[in-house]
Amino acid sequence: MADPIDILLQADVFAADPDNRFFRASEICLEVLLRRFPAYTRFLDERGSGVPRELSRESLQTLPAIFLPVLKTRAFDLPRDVPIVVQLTSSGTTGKPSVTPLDEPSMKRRVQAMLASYRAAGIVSGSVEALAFLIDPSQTQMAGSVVIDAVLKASPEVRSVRYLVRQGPAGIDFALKDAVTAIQEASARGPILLVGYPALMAAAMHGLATAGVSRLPLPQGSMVLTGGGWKSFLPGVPLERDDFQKRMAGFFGLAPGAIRDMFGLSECPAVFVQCSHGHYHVPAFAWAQAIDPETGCDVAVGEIGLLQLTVPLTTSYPLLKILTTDKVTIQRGCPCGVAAPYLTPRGRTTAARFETCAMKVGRAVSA
Amino acid sequence: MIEAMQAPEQLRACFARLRAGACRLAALPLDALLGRLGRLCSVWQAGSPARQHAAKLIGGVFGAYTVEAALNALAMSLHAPILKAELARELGRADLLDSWQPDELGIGWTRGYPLGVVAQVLAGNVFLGGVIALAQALLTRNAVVIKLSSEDSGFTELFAKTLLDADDDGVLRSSIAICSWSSAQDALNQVLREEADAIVVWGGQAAVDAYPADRCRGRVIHYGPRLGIGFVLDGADLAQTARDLAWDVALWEQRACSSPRVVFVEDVADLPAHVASALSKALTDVRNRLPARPLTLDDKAEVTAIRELAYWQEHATILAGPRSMDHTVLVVDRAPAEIPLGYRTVCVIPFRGLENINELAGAYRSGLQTVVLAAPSSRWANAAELLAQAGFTQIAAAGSAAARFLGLPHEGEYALRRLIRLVGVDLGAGPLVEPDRKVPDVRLK
Repeated sequence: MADPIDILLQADVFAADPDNRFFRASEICLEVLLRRFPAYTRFLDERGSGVPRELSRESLQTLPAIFLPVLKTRAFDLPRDVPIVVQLTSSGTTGKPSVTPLDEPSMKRRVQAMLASYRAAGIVSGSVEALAFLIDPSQTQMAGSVVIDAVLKASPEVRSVRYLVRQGPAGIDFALKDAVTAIQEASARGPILLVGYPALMAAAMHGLATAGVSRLPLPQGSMVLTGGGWKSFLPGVPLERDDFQKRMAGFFGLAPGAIRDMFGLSECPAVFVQCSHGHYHVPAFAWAQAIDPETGCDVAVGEIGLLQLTVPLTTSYPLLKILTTDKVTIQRGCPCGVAAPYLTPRGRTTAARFETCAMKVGRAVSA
Repeated sequence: MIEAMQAPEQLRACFARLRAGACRLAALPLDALLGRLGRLCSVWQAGSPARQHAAKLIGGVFGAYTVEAALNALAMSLHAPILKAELARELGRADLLDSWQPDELGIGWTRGYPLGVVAQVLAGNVFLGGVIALAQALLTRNAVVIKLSSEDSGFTELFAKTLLDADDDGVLRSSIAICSWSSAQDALNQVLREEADAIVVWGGQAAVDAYPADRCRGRVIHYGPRLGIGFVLDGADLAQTARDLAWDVALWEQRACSSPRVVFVEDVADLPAHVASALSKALTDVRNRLPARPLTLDDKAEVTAIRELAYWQEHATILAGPRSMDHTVLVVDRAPAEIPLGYRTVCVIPFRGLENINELAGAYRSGLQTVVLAAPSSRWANAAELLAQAGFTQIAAAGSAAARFLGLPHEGEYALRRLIRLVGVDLGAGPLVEPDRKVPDVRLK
């Protein structure tokens, strides 16, 4: 009998779920996690939720979530019989990075999920050369590099992938000149996909302009796919997404729909790719909620809440349901025609700064 | 009235003006000073326009009860007899800065003198901070530069305006400057370090670090940062203790260093669990009088972080109202590495044996100041002795932390004494003086 989790992934990315495939997959995922992680079972018990035998929207709603900053300081013991093939890390731009251990099935599902989202957004719909403004995955375990690399290599349309960022002993090494040359050379051969940190792409665009290239129209079929790092990847390089996309479109002669952004977290296998109307749709294998952390309930449609994600694709670490520190709104009714809800990122929460005589003991708790 | 400082020269000019004013203030007789302050009593009476204005300024952070009670205390403390009594307690005699006092033989005389121009670097936590800073400076007849906190509510300026309205001959006007600049503008901080005859720094570590004694010309007095600690001893009335502690936690929203954030409970017959449970209930009940302010999404994420990190890192038991972030009581086995700040969060920690107080408090030695004590009367004396030996400088009965701001030692000393210099006149007596000399016939006033 086919694994309900795999069945979930076989469906169309934004398909409706009349058979409750999502909840069946969540039940299986939860069952595996409870078997593998006693601390997670204790957590659910102590929070009074117990373990529901059948998961419905209601019971999954009350299932306690793991708060993401916890994972930066607290690792779950891994069962010995679960061979880990990769330990993905977050970028650590907001503090200590978290680590997500994945076994082969979990990694495979993550790649499948991301590829499905890419395809649904038309990201790898034709033959392209990929230039990745990401750290070479042979030098890092950062999820952005490792998973995107696996996705690109799993796509026959991607003829080659070249990484433009290296992890040097002193930190990140981005060779701007090489990047500028690589864009010029690759674009002469055919369509290209620029993928990775927007700050580095902006730097490359600036480098080209400085070298006297005021405009470099890319071949038809080229795309730009950005992810992460809008505010904090490079100190002192603030970027505003809409402005960046407009400038990229103008410089590279691309239609606005050919420049997309994706939103994701290293701990979550689902990635949210902008549709042609700039909205981050939620795939069918994920349940995204904007919640009020005080009540645990969804905020009203369109109001800002904390992003809570339930994604039953990871069985090697208890990440079925996570509460993030990202602020989002969740809405429906995108003119692009996709019925699935879409989220709009509204920044991260920030710790309150009390200028008081009360002594701070230990580090700030917010991650 | 607020002088927004842009350049060091502007601040230096302010100091020059205040130095001239300081001479006039130093010569102002005590009764004339107290008369000006006394005129403010009616200005700050309940229902007055100043009170209504203040309530609007402060109401966003603190509840109406706290604001009203604090302003009542302010109005009361401006009465001349009260100020005189506090001065006498802190300085030894109320007229210390007004007259020479002879010793019993009439050959030694002492008198206090102001330091000159005192800078007060304020924290933004408790709105009365600016008033206390002004009072400290004026009662010691020092001119004063107030550096407002970036979080200042506007109350300090409002109070200063009412003070200057009562200043008929301009003596105070020439002695007070309410200033603002960003702490990141170190060139302005440097003027303070070079010019002030004393700097009083209230607030967090960053503020304290900006004015180290070895880089300042004048006397440096640091108030903060401190950790509010409570002790509950077996035999204390449980319900009353919980009510009192909840009050101390909620009154200033833990923005004052005296508000307890860690409560050690004597580990006798499940007392810690009982105290934690009763405290959680009392923190729910206290909202009737001291409502918790509405939390933003960022605040709620912070409370979530406090609770979840305590659960996962410290194995804390979390007590809170259902679906409520009005307060959090964390029961932990030992003092956590990170002690949450704000949001009415209290760590309850069991301890055994009062003789271990030294060890328990030792981890926070640099932050010790106020301890809130809940104990049966019969155990108070012993507990107070041990707490004093452990390094605390203020032992407050539960329910009264931060309820008083003049007349008691603060940070181990009388605050006003640190803002004056004592001058002695010795007319000479005893075996070491020149044997054939005649004692001068001097009577100092």
